[in-house]
Amino acid sequence: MRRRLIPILFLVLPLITIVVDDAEGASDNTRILLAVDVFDLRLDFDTTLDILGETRFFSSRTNKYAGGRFMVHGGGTPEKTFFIGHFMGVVWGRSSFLMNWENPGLQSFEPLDSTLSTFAFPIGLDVNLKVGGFLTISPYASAKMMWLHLKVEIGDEDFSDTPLKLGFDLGCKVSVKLGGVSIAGGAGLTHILNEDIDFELDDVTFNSRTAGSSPEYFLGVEF
Amino acid sequence: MTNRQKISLGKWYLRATALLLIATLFGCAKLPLENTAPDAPVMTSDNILYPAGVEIRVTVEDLDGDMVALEFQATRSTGEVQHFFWTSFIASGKEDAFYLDLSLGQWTIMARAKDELAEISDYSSMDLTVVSP
Repeated sequence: MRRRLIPILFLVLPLITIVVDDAEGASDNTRILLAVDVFDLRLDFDTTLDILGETRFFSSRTNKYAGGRFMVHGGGTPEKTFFIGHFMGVVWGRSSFLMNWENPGLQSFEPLDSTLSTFAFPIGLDVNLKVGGFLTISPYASAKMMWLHLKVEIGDEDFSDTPLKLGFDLGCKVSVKLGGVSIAGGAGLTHILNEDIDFELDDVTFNSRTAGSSPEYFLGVEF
Repeated sequence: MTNRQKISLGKWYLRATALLLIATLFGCAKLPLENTAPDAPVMTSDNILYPAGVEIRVTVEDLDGDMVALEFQATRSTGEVQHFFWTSFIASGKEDAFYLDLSLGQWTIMARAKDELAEISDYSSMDLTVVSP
């Protein structure tokens, strides 16, 4: 029941935020951010299973990344130089890496292609400070539900699992106004609430662990 | 600003936004992250045939600090070639010992290293004459 309640809350809370925002008449300051996003999730796999004897699986560093961010920012009015705003949206990305496997002390095998796709729905608050009429500095904090989809290719078959996690972000967005749109970029740190994440792939469990906070960078347009 | 300039600026924004939208939605923001292949392995041996085989002591440096696995190829002076599997992973920069199943005589040992991202080093080689203990 609790596992179902958290995602529902994350869908309902943004609606409440929008309704409250409209009631205050502040919706004329709604901004949409569309950006490419790099979320370098620091997730290390290291699992020893009993397959062909003692078999250890461990992940390489990420070797490729693709992702994006769509965010709706609201609160305040265009005239205000300082205001507390709010935002919600979706961040997605896919990183690829190799899953190495070996019989410890004996031999290693051809590594397995693996991908980790992330879908996250952040909702948070930002503090907006306008400087010189064209620059806005916005430190932010948010919470997000995250779906982590692991896919490992073994032979011609794909094995996957998608656990749900809760994460928290702290970061700063900077936007520079250029006529009708702004160029916006930012960086933040994401911390996943539970450091140990298990992926059930068929009948085996791959254990992973986050190594501290994971950096996230984005750059795009705000209009 | 003239009307013509306004229109061209508007078109520029539209094009930039459309490009970004496509890039974002289809994941074109592919960032290949940097990885350097390990250095060629450095090998030493006392050339003695022990019951487990001939001991080859190896050190491999990987600039990224990745763990490395090794592959050996042994060629006898008569031309006979022996390949060995990729070993299990060892730490970069730390000496480790492997035993190769060789017979007495003259051999050329070639070795290469592979890091966690499957980048492979150049071969290094060593000539040795295997003798009884």
